[in-house]
Amino acid sequence: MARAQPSLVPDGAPLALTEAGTHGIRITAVNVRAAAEGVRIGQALADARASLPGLPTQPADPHRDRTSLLRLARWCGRYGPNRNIDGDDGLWIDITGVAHLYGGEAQLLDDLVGRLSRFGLTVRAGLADTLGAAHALARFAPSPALAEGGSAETRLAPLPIEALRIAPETVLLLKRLGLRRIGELYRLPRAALQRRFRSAKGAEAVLMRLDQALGVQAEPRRPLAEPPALYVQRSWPDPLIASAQIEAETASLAQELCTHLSARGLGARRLCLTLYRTDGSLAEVRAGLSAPSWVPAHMTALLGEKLAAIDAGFGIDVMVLAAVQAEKPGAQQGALAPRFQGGTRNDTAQLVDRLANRLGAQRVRRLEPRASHIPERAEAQVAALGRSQDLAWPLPAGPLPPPLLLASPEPIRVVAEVPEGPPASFVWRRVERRIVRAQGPQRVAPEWWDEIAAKKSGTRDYYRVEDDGGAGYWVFREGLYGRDEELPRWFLHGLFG
Amino acid sequence: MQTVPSPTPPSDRLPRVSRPEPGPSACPRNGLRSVGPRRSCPNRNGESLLAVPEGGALEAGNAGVLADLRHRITALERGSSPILSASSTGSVTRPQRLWTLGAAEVDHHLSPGLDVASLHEVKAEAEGPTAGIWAAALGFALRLAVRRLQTFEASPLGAPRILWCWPSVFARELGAPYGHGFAALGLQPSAWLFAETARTADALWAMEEGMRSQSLALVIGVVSEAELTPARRLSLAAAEHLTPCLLITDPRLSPAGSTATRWRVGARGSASHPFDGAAPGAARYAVALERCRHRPLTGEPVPHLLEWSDETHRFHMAATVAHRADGPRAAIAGA
Repeated sequence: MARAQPSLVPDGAPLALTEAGTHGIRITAVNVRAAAEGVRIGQALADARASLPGLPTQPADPHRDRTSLLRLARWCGRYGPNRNIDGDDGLWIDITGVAHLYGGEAQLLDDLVGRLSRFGLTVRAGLADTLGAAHALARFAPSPALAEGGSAETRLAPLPIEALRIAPETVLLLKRLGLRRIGELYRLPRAALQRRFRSAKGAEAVLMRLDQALGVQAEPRRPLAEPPALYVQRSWPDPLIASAQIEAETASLAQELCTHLSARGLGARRLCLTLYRTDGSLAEVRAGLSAPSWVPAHMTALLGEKLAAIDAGFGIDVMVLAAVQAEKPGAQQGALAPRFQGGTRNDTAQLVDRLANRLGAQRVRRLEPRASHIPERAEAQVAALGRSQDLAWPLPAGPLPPPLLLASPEPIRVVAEVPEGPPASFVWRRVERRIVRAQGPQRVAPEWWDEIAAKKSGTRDYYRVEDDGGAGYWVFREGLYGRDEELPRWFLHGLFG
Repeated sequence: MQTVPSPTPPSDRLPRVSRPEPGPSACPRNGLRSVGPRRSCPNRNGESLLAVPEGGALEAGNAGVLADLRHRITALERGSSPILSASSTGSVTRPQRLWTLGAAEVDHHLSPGLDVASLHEVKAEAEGPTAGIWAAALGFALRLAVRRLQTFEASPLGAPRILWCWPSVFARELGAPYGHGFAALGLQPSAWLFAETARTADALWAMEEGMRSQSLALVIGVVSEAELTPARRLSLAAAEHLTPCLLITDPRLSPAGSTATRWRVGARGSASHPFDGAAPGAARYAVALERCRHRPLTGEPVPHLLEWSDETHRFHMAATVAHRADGPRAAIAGA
């Protein structure tokens, strides 16, 4: 699928894309005009220039081709959520249950071909019951090819066997056997076909592809994105431009989605609003929810926050709101108690959603205890948006830890009266602090079962100290005198308020 | 009993009252509901301009009545019930547990207790190493949170929730909240939500959003400074959604407006440990109430030396004389 760039090539001129290979420069793509002049894909550039001197060429950019194909596949989401690229030059869309929205399969195909042609693309389209049949029709039948339900077998029969997506050497072998059309394979006894191949594998590949094309055998498909649990779609003949319109339509889509969600007893955990612009580009707005929700106002508020940043461009003609993930909500107590009771977990779910969607999921956190005696490993900051669980916080034995813990212990210079005693004074962040009270030590040994961690950190002796200004610090000495080769080092780990 | 002075405002302050702000109006409650001709309208500094009879020589008893009336008017303005219903039935004990510090000497300045529908500011003392003074203000705020949670009945749904917002620069400087340390103070760490934002404006937004959700017992924000408009927004959100907000700001910068109270807090040498003479004991703070909207203060704020009791979870006045010379410290500096 090569698109001529108007800036590079004048209209109506032949153009070929080339790529340097082991046997010189070869042509990888040609436009209609060049094909009419007899330039073929796979031809050496020298040969092509011999027949058509002055053939303009451009180096092929497979990477950019692929990204634009992916972009096109995303755009195709307006025809159905299950779609992906097919090879280097194709796309597939699963339109199960979608065609009636366009008034039928033929109308849908016309709509698709019409829109893509207006983007300046040369389109070949096929529509059939199976991916294999559609693939064959799109590439080898006059476009747009539509195989009505059940007619795939007859429609495929006149097509060449290359249409079956089989390896070139297999195609060559089949042609040598005199099998040129797919229809000729139908009549052949399967065992006979298998005998003609040297390996059973080759025959199996042909039969598998044939069965997949005819719908006898299922074919796994990998869609571009995880198919949503539920989605609602709306399109307008006149594109939306004003942001107020877009917001109002978002609200009404949310309303519709929530109706479907509550009818199924589901709540959305992840939302994705896709806006398809008329020029073929699209914008996506995503929102995560900490608890399953089916409240339209809440969804609108979450999405509306990010809608402001969306550029409507030349207008938006299709909007799809999908509950990418939905699940059954847990049993919940209704609002029996007055609203203001300090709040519970369920009440704060909406707050968490709003904060996390604006600030970022990683910036809104909860604390969770972890089974460890090493202070920094004894708790974890987890995103509040995730599933929460109530874990008990066992009070540590001995002196109590401070409410503020530095991200990593900061080294301090310590003067101590006795080597194994508490510090008499220390310098932290260039300020000397004279210690008047100290409590400790509290020994924390490394976790011997975790070899890497144990090697990294030594035995710690924690002290709670207080300076002459009344400020409290949590300091520790790492290492033991006489046991380790290095002298113990001091660190400050936390602040008591 | 404290006597209330005549807070006739200096004339140069008056124009500020009606100074237009980006909000709907400088005093939006005016004109929405009418309670009486004399309206309480907090001015820019938060002091009430509720009229007091000229001449000001009030007896102590009158001051009490006046305070009660003032309080009832504020309750009326808010449309909040618990305090009002108690006053109207004439009962002396109020049904809702009040948010107080626990030390009667400080609590009697409050009207009665810290207002749950207001913005409260905590500032550290200006002198001292940065981390130390901020830690003192945070420690005091955490203990106020403990006191706040005590006003709630025990619920099977778990502890009421608290939101803590700060720009990440503070987390780097002071360290992250440590759950086990929170638990040691008597707070349930799983009931806390922490929002670490990139910018101060985001932290203020998160605070306002927290109050709007009406699902929190308290919102704590640590920012270097809250400008006039954000502070006003926070104050209005607190009043509208009946969620208190503690704002901890840089002690070196000017105080936020629209606050109901402002506290100046400094760490002091802790009390003696009951079993270990060399160990730090109960935390002590020098706490000065610099501003109190409902009861204008007289004269310079006096710091009280408050001691936090880990057993009863309340502040009480520390007895300075009890700190004998045989302890590691002979006197309490600055108290």
